[in-house]
Amino acid sequence: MTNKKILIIDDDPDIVEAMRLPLEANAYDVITANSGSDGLQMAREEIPDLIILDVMMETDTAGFHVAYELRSEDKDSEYRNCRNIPILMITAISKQKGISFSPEKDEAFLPVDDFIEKPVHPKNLLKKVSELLSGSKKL
Amino acid sequence: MPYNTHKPEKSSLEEELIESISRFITLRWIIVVGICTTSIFARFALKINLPLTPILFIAFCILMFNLACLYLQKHVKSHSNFTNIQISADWIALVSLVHYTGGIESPVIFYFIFHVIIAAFLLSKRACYFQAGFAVLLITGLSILEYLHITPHVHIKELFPNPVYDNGLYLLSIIFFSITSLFFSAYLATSVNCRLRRRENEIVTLKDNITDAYNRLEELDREKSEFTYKVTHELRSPLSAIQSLLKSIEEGYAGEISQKARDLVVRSEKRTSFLITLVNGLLDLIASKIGKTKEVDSQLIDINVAVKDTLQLMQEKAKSKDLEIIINTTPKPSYIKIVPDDLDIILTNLIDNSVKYTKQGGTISISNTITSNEIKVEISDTGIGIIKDDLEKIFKEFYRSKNAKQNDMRGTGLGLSIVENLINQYGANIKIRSEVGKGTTVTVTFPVDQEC
Repeated sequence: MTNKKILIIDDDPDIVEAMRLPLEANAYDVITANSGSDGLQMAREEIPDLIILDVMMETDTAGFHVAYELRSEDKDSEYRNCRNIPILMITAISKQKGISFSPEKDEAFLPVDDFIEKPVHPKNLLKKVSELLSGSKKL
Repeated sequence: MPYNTHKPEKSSLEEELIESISRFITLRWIIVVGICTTSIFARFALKINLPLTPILFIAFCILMFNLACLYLQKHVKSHSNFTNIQISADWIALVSLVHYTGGIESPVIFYFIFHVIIAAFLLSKRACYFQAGFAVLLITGLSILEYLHITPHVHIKELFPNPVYDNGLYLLSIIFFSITSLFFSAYLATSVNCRLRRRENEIVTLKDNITDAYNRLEELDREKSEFTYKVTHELRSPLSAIQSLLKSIEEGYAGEISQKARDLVVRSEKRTSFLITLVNGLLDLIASKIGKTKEVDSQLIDINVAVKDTLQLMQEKAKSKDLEIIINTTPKPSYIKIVPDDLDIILTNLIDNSVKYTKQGGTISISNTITSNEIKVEISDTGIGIIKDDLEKIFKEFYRSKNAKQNDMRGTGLGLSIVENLINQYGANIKIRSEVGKGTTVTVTFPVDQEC
């Protein structure tokens, strides 16, 4: 069985590194992109098993646009093959609790599967990643 | 750009004139009634032989004139011209009244002085003297015309048994003293009025300057807060990167490290974590202070649900300290209108304080009560309590009570400041009762929107 491939789209190389280490240690293949447009291109070419996506990149909402593109309902969308890839969205520390960004509330207008907050805690990250990959958290 | 003085002052004077004109018009109604009743009373009760018809006709003319003024008041452009015309017309009415009540002998002549004073308060100095001059012209003209018998003199025998019109010298002295008293009144009234107006202008200018300075200061303060907000915000990304990296090292993903190195990483990670808490607290504090525009609108939120949600997230911490949590909320939902994040910050800070400052095995109870105009939330604990002297200070930014510091080294001292600022925004209030060693009770009272 080949390793699962995870695409991290984040413009902060240190955050990327902090996530890459625990993921690789757990036998995931990690590929990275440091901008929304690069990320989209890589998603289309590599078709990863999971995408970890930062909200704030070039703009404060660049991550949202990436998510919308990937989940576009348009039949001719160039990302139609990516539609079913689970997305884990990294949000800035909104609140200690993050009520304002929970998938139950925001899924309707934000097509992602789960959220994780910065700073990233490896244990939490690995838990969410494995949940999403096994489909147990799939909405 | 900040000091644009003298602008509102003019309009405030203009407004004042308009207001005075209204009062002046009201006064005229009273005068009409006064003329009618006095003359009728004099004629029939005192049996003074007044020419009632012309006097009542004059009253009627004043009445019609006043009706016209009332209508024109809303349409005229120059209010000072309007006032000049009114006062001139009044002089004419007054002179006619004087004529029909005995000429220069008539006691009505005293009313000229009142009218000069009114003119002084309504008009400029020059216009007032001009009006006084006009009045003098009318009085002297009338006396001369009557003296020379060009106009018939109305002689009221009951009042003036000895007519003065035959005595030129007496007539002259009355005219002289009427004129001087008129001008003297004009002088006194205008000078008093001028001084008042000057003072008023000074006050208005001063008020404008103060308002400008205050606005400018507020603006600067806002700019400063915005700046602080931005700076603080910029700290977040590097801090979370640092913490994420430290966490990776700590958990061994960067390879095996010595126990000592691990300890140091854990310490660094804890300090970074505190910095992040501080930065978040500062952001909340500044946002609550400058009333930063919220991303989300106010919503009706059931406070019972919000309390349960907040507790859910603190369960772990409470469990580790073996705390008993008693919830005593109302059976039906109690809605308040609030931005969800704000309520979240308020409840999290308050409940977190209780959890933090209550020792192993203690109790925290949360209850709420609804009345027709307020919702009260009470968070009570059996914690370490707050020293009496500190009760007022704990809302101050960065202030931490001594026993709080002893109990928990870390803590930003921002929580209650944030809570207080937010609570003020919603017109709610917070009360804290506490006894050292026994516990603390925090009561937050939200006003209930009448519409809900």
